Amino acid sequence: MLELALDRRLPGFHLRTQLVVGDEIAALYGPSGSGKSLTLLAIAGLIRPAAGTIRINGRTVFDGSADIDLAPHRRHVGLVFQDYALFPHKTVSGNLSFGLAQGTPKNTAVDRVNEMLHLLRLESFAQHYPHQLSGGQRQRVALGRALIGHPEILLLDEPFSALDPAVREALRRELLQTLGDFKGTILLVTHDLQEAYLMASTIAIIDEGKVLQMGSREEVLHQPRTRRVAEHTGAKNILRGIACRGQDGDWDIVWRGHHLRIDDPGQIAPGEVECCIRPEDVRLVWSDRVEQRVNLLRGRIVHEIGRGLDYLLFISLSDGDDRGKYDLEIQVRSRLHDLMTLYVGKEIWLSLPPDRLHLLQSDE
Amino acid sequence: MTQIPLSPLLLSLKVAGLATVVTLLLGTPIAWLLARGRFPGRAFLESIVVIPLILPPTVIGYYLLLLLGRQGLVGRLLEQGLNIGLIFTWKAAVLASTIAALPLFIKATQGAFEGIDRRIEDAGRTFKPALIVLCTITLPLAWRGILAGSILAFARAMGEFGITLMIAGSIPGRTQTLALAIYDAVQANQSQEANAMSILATAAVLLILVLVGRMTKVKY
Repeated sequence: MLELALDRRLPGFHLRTQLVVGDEIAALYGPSGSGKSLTLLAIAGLIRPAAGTIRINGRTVFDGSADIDLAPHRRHVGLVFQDYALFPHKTVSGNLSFGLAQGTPKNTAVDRVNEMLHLLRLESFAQHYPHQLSGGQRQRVALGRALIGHPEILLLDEPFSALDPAVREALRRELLQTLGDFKGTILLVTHDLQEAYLMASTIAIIDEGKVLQMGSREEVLHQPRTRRVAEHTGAKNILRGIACRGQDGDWDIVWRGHHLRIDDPGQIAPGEVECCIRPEDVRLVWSDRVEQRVNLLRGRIVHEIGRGLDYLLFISLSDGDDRGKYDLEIQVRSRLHDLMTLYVGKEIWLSLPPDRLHLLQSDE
Repeated sequence: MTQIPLSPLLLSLKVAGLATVVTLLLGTPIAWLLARGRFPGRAFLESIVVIPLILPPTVIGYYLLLLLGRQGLVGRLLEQGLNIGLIFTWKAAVLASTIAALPLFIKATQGAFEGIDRRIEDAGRTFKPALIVLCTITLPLAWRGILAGSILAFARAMGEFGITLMIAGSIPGRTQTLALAIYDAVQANQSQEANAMSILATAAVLLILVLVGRMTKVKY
């Protein structure tokens, strides 16, 4: 359990993170420079916030107003750095044993190191130096060094960014396996949304030093709270329209003259609203099935980007008001792209499924 | 065959060795402060440190003479308070060499500290108290730079001439170091002695360099 509320001003940047994370894997997701790594450093005690509190399992490790500021090694925090920060002059064993608390008896230390070497499958590398290891092995050593002292919480700063994309996938699974026995809070920092989704059950979106939204990974992905969250999570289509009640009493959003149905209007009020839909949620409609669809639109492909497995199509609505740019970005699998023989300039039908259309609240 | 005077060489080795030790003890904390510290006056300290590199040695020697001489502020305190006479003794030669060697040592060592990835020290601090991190992570990682700085310091101390002449003089058998003795030999037209001592000085310094290089093979 980790509770924190931080405040620190840096030149041109204001960090004011607030988080409560239970005993689970949570991801701190945001672009570079958003303050996510800074937040980790503050939790570990390596930078000092100007104000705020940090509590680990109810134990206050930092309190700006009560002048509590525990030294990093007294916080029982395991921190795995982005490029692992192994001690280059120490062997794998030496790196691991450094993670043990000061004054651990020699026999116990040897046993614990051996145990950890076994767990990490690095027995035959005990006497190797970090520069003799592969990226994945280094990551394991860094993880083992952070875990060997039984920290209460574990912080991982971009654990995969130093690795080749080819090995990332396998190492994610491996890391999750190794972390399986860890019972406390794990906070993972990443700028890769997919990685956040794969590793964590809860995702916090952070930007400009502030947590914009925190929730289950599904929620963050499919129900962004505000426009800024939507922009960060890849809900590229943001439609600005007018909310009004339809004839049947349900809410409609009028966007570019089309009355769009929305399944979950939430706390909607009449007037100008914004809603969003992810590029992969927009459906292409075969022309013979047009009658069965709601939120039907007709548009022309103005641009496309083939990405191998899928295509990004940029659609301009055919409503007589062609402004020369696109109105919707949609993502279709290459197979469907070929089946429907799509090309730039072609007119197509598409629909915005009401359960995928999501209403945004205004930024505060 | 002329007898080669050994005492200037021995004196030089003693003075330079001691000066190197003092430089190491004094310079390492300063270098660390300059590399890692954030405090008001850091820039000032940084420029103070290099002054001995820029000023003519005789000028530094003259200032020291004013400061440490019988009438000088520090000199009077030392002589009356602690009964230590510094000027024109081998101790003054050590001081002269230390002052000449410090800037070189500090610059090399500061570079070594700055070259350490800060996150490695940070990682250490999450496990152990800062002092232990300094002793088991920072210093071992910087030691090659510290050693290089020490060699520079020793070499500079062996060659020290100007400041030494000003505050220690050139008293044969007492404060006449090798560099001074060679100068005197040349002045007195004793070219054989000058040759012998020059070769001796070269050999001694080379030998030390080779020995140090041997002791410091790195395995990582």
